Amino acid sequence: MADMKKLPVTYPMITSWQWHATLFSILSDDENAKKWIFSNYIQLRCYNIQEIFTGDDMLLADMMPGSSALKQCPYLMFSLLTKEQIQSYCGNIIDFIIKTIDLNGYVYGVFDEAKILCDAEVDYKFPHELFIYGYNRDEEVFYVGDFTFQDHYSYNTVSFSDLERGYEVITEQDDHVFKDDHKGGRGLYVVMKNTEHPIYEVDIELIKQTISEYLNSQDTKDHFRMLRNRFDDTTFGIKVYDKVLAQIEKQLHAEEPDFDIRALHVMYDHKVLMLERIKYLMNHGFLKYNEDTINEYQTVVRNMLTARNLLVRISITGEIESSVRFKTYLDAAKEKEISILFRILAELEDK
Amino acid sequence: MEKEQIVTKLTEVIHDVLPELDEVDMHANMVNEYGVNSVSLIRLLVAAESKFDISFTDYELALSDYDSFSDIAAVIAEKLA
Repeated sequence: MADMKKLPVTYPMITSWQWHATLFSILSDDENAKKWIFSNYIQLRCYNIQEIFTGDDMLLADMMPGSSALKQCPYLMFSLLTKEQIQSYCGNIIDFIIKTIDLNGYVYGVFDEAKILCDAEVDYKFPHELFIYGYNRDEEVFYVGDFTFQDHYSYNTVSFSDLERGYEVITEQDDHVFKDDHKGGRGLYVVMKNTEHPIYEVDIELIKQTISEYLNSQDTKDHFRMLRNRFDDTTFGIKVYDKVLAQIEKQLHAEEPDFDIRALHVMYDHKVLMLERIKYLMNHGFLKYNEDTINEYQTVVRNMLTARNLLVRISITGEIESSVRFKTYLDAAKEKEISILFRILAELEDK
Repeated sequence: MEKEQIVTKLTEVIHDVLPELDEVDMHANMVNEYGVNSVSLIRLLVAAESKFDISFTDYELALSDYDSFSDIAAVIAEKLA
C-alpha cells in the first residue's frame, strides 16, 4: 500500500447537494461524461419534506435525476457494501477506505460529522454524506469533500480516528442514504469512474423533450418512475420559481423569519448548468453559435445569484422590506429564461 | 479618503467580521487563503457599509466579483470618490 494517494477531483461547477457535488467532483472534466450530464439535469422539481435534523418543514428543490444521479450515471460504477461486508473483507473501516482508494474507488456514505468536527464529546449527531477521495498514511488523514467544514463545498482533511468515530456511531436509523434507497441497514458506497469508453451520446431528443417539460411545468415523474415513485405534491419545471418565491415570502413574513437559501441555491446551480449546456450545444454544432443568447442567459444566472445574495443580506440586516427587490430579480430571471429556452427549443426542433 | 485610510478601516472591519483571521494580506485570494464564502463576504460588505457610510448594490454582493480584500477596497474607494 502506498503512503499517500489522492484520486483526481475537480471543484464541482454545481454544489447544491452532496450527490451532485460528488458526481461533478469526479466527472466535471470528462468529455464522455459531459454527454450524459448535459443530456440530463434539465428538469427541476420541488416538494415539501421535514428536515432530517430539525424536523422543520423545508422545500426540497433538486435537479432530476436528483439523489439517484450517482447510481444512474453510466459513467460511474456505484456499489453498495454493508457494514458486515466491510468488516469481513477488511476488518476495519480505515483499511477498507485505503484499499478502495488504492483500487481507484472513491468512497461515499453517511458519517456523524459532529464527531468529526468537534474534539469534545457532543451529545448530538449530525449525520451527513461525506465524499472521500484520498488518504495520507504519514499524516493519518483522509482527503474529503463536503459542505460542513467551511459552510460551502470544500476539500479538507479528516483524521483517521475522527472518521472512524464518525462512522461507528451512525446507526441504521441515522443512515438516511441507505434508508432512502429502501435498503435499510448500514454501510458505504464505492464509486468508480467508468469513462474510458463512450457509452452515452448527446441525446438531443431527450434534451428537447425535457426542456419542453421544464417550460410547461409538466409532471415528468414517469421518466423517473423506475427510480422513485414518491411524487405527491411535487412541483415541476418553471413553476418551481413560484413555489420557491411563495415559500420564501412565507418564511420572511413569519413571526420569526427563517432564511433557508438551499432551494434558491439549487435554482442558481440549475441556471449555471443550463448556461454551460447552451455553450456546449453551440460548441458542438447542435445549436448555432450565438453570443447574444449566451449573454442573455448570463443575465438569468446573474439575477438568480443576486436574488440568493439579497436573501443572505436580508438575513443579516433584517431588512425584510428588501424582499420586494428579491421578487423583481426572480421574476426577471424567470421571464428571460422562458424566452431563451423557447427559442432554443424551436432551433433544436428545426434541426 | 486616502487609499491607506481605506485599507486601515477595511482591515478593522475584516477583523470584526472574521475574528479568526490573524494577519491579513490584502492581495491574497480571499477564498483560498481565508476561506471567505458567499455568506461571510456579504457580512463583510454589510459591515463595511456602516463603517464607510456607503451602500453596495444588490449586484455588488457576488463573491465572484472579488478575488482579494484589495478588490473590496477598490470598490469602496470608487464609492467615496
